[in-house]
Amino acid sequence: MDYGRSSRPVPTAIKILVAGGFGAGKTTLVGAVSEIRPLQTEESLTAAGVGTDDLTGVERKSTTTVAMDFGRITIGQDVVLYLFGTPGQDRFWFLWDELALGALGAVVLADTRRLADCFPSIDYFERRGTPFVVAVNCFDDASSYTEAEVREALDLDGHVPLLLCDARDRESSKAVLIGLVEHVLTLSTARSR
Amino acid sequence: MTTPPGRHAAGQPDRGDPGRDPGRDPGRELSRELGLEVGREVPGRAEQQWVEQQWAEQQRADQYRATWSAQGAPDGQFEHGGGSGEHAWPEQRRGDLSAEPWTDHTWVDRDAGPVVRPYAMTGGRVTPVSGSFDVVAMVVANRAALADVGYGLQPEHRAILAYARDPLAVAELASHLDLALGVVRVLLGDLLGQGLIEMYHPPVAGELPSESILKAVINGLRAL
Repeated sequence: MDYGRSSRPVPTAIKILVAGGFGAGKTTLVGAVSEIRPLQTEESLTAAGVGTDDLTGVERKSTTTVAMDFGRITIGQDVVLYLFGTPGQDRFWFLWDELALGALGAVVLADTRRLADCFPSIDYFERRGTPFVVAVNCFDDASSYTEAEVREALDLDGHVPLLLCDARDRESSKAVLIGLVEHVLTLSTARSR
Repeated sequence: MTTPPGRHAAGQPDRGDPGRDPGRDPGRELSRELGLEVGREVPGRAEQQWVEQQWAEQQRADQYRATWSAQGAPDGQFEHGGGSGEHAWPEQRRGDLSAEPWTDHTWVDRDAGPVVRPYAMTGGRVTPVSGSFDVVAMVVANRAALADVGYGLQPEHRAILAYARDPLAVAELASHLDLALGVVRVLLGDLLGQGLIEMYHPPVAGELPSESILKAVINGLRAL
């Protein structure tokens, strides 16, 4: 049935999350691959967040606004990828639940100078069963570790891909996304067998 | 209290709103994109005018602020930059008290957040009357229904309908309208309840897209 709406077909939207500690390069990665200048949208803390958000001292404050970056990559006419940079603070976990719902997968950005910052993200996606890859953002002044060392430090499951990347570089960031979708494809093939 | 890490926080970079580029006029661009001819009476004229009016007000506000900052004090004498239409944001970071001696707090102008509390425009409602709206759910305005719209819609509702003539994700809509997602969801619920929009939901949680879609995504990314 045609209600006279736009003739443009409605694309399938696929959501990919970009997580990691504060300053790990989430916004940079989104900006490197997005076809639009990364946009920001704001989410308010609602009642659902009260349990997780530390409201000590601000009990009377009923809403908090948190900004998240997102970018878009159009894949042909039928598919659009949306990349969401998850808010960096632990306080905003509640937002992740909604973001992670229906997400294809996640990229966890790790900075080897502050590896611990990405532990919560890894824990979160492991617990939820969201497919993810870990991308080590190679900062210039960070001493380099071998993949095995980083894997050991993160206590990663053997099947979770670990990639090295430069979040400023478009090709490198693209490779991370491709790595994630390939990982999802592998999981999906394994599941259907 | 911890400062929320939103755009209101001092020290955050400016938002980089693409609509703030002085050479661009989103109202006009939108109407061009939508193929609306100025001067022809077509549905959506009101929405278009609304967007243009908002833009004009924004321009005026920007110019006012730019002139003010350039002079260093609000002495009431406003010059208009030689009429070039260029108005750059001041080099000084907002919130630098030494640079702005007339302020006694760090959040001013746009940094101080919206003048209207976010949920004021939903009448305090925080849950949509109908539907659920994922951040990547696609919204399309129902053109047939648009023909006899007119009562009970707020400017924000109309703006949503104007933007959603072509499929647009909820998050993009919120970003274009500069409204919080929660607010946009309530407004979308109103529109859905009245049959003015159609929603296209992303794949259900826990259900991975088909292999053919995944392969198309991989190839598409490689080809970028």
